[in-house]
Amino acid sequence: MKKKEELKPNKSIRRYLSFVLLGTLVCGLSISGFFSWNFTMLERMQYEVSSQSLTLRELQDLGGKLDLLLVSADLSIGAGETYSAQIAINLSRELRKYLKNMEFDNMFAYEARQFRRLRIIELLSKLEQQIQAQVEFTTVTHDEDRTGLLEQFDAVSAEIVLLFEQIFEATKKHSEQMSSALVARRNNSFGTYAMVLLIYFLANAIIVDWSFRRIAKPLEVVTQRVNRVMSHGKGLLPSLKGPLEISRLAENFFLLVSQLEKKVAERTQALLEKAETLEQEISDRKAAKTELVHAKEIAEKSNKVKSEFLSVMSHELRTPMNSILGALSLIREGGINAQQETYIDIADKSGNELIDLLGEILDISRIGSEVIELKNEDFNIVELVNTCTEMLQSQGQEKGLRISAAIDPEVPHFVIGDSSRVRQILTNLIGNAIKFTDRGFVEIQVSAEAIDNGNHVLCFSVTDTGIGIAQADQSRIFEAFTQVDSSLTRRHPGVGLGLSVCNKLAEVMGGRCGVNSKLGAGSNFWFIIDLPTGENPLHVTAGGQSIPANPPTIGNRVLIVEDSESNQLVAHAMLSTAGYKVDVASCGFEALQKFGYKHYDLVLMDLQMPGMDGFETTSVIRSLPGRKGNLPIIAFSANTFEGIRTRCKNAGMNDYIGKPLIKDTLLTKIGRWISLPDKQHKSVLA
Amino acid sequence: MFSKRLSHLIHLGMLAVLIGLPFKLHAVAYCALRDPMLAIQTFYPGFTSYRSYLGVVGPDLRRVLDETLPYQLHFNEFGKHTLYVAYAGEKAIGLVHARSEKGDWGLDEIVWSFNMDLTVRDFRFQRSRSRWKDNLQDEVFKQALRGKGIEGLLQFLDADGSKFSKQISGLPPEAEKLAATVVRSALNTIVVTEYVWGDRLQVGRE
Repeated sequence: MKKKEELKPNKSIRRYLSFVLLGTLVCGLSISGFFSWNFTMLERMQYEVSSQSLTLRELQDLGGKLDLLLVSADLSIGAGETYSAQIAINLSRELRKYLKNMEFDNMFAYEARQFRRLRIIELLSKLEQQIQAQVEFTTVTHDEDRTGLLEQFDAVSAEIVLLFEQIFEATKKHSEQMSSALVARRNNSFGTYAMVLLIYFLANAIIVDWSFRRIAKPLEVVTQRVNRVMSHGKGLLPSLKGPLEISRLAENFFLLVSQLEKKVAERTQALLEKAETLEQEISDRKAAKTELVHAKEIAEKSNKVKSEFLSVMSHELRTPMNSILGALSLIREGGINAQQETYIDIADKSGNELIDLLGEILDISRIGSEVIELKNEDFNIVELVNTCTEMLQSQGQEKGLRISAAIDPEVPHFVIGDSSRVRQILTNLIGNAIKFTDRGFVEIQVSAEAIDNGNHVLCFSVTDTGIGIAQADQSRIFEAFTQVDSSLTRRHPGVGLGLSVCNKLAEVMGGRCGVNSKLGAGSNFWFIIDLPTGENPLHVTAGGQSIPANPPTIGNRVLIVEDSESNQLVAHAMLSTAGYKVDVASCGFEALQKFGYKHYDLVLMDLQMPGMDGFETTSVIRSLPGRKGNLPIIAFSANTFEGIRTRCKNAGMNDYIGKPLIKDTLLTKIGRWISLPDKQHKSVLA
Repeated sequence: MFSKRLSHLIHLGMLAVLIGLPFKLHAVAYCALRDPMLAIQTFYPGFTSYRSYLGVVGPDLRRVLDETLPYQLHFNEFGKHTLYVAYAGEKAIGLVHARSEKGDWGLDEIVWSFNMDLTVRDFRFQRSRSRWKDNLQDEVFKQALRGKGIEGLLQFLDADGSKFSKQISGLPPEAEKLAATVVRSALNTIVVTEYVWGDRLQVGRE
């Protein structure tokens, strides 16, 4: 039976709602009909009761008339009163007339009461005849006749009374019954109303329950299934017995779910395949990355090896160049003829060019390796510009050029930065300008613009009246190993590293280089850097110390620790000619031995030596007690790699001088350190 | 024409007029015993003869009634009345008298039988249209009245003499109204007889 019901096609919600509406309507109409019927019945009964009461009162009135009639009749019959007889006859006629018009309702004993009413009318006629006869009997003297007449009268009147009483009693009984029925109905109505209302509510509850089971329940089932699908990702289509719309909704939903599952499966498969591809790609990339890391390591290692090689090469090249140039200097001081001096100048110039070339190669190598370290010291920018100008003044004058420098008043004298790198750029640009200018002038200009935090943007400009650079070539002249014209290369020697180094150094310092030029009309090279304003260190400062500008140097003893005999010779010659007492040690051990029995005012310490190098020897010296352990030590090396100054400071050295030795620089530094009191021998190394 | 209540009042007024008519003007007693011989025979089966005494009841009887009875009884039956005396040989053995009283339906005529000392001996309805008359003609009720004079009969009525106040076995409550009428009729008869025929009765008793 249940299966049969499930096979029935579902109905639409509208149909279900129609059922509900119909059910509610039927219930409402039923209860309304019942109440109306009950009220009608009550009203009808009330009317009947009222009608019966009225009839009863009419009968009571008739009874009174009948009584009066009988009294009159009795008087007339008994005493032969003609007056009473006339009254009785009149009353009887009136009574008859009234009874003729009287109507009983047909609800109760209608026929009997009708019969009796008619019988009374008949008897009343008879009674009237008897009364009339009695009046006529007034002359009759026979008692027997009179007695018979009285007995007939009594019989007739008794029957009238009996019939009237029966009618009255029947009406009264009916009225009482009706009243009782009315009261009972009224009393029962409350219970009946309650019962009907209860039935109504029960019917409505059944309708609501039915509609819930038919409409809400399927929705609930669908919701539960949907929740199950949402929770567990799968579910079965419920066999719904409910509205068509809900069934379709559920079917569509589960169809959608199945389609989605299918799509998800397809996409999952695609994603898996994609993931496999990606995994493969990742593996490949990992492998490539490993290879790259390995290659990078190799490159870094190669770079490091290259840097070390360059360092070694620089040292190895500078050392003999130092000796050559030193020897040339000594030869020049020893007294030579003009011809010899010319040769020595050529040799000296070539050596210096070679040194510059080595420096440029070394710089470009460092920049490429990104191992440049910048100093952060106070320096006098005005003095730097003047020095550079003066240094190249003679070179320009040789070509008949006017060399001048103009420094803007806004330029701060002291800034913080790497003065050697600034000097390197500026010297390079000035040198280039002199190199490519045959006549006219070379002008150096420096301007400044204040920015935030006390910093200044310094703009260095070198303007010449040289050959100029074509517009097309201006963009590539800062590239390494680039010359504008290879034919010029032969006229103007060089490998094209200078401008590239300048540009790289300016970028390292946060600035940049540029050129404004016109072919045949000269060039304007410039570079800008951002440097903070510094303080005047007086000359050389270290922890607030000052170094006298003209220190006394004569008679002080200096120990040169150097393994290269040529360098020993050059340094010894420079110092001894300046008045210093000079001792030489070929290695660290020898230096320490000499410390044992001699007092020195300063040590000029080479860094790379066989056995005990300069760093280790310095450390041992610093560990000596008293004044010996506190004397100034100046590093003395052809190693110009960044970081070397820091290592020197960490080893306990006070200053650094690069090779090849320049006599003036050497003497200035030594003089300054010797003039300081012992307690002020602090390192000036970064 | 008239309202029912007014009509009812008119009828009551007519009744009062009818009852209050001066019947002596008509000279015929309307409460006469219809068949005296039969009535006396019924009450006194051993009678040998009877005598009838005609008397006139006038308005002065009302004063006598008021003085004799503790309450006022309705009495408008004036005119000629006949008292029958039954004899057994020369001895008067009892009285027979018929009286009319207003009943539920017209006038109830009661035939009374008294002993010579005016105590109740028996009674019967010459006319009554009440349905309860048979209950009162039962021997139990008659026995309750027998031998009762004025004092005894007054015990059956309430203080104003309007309602029957005695409990009698077998007498339904609906019949008590007629019973009160019967008792009042007896009292009236005794007083009227004593007043009208008292002298003659005294001779008869002797």
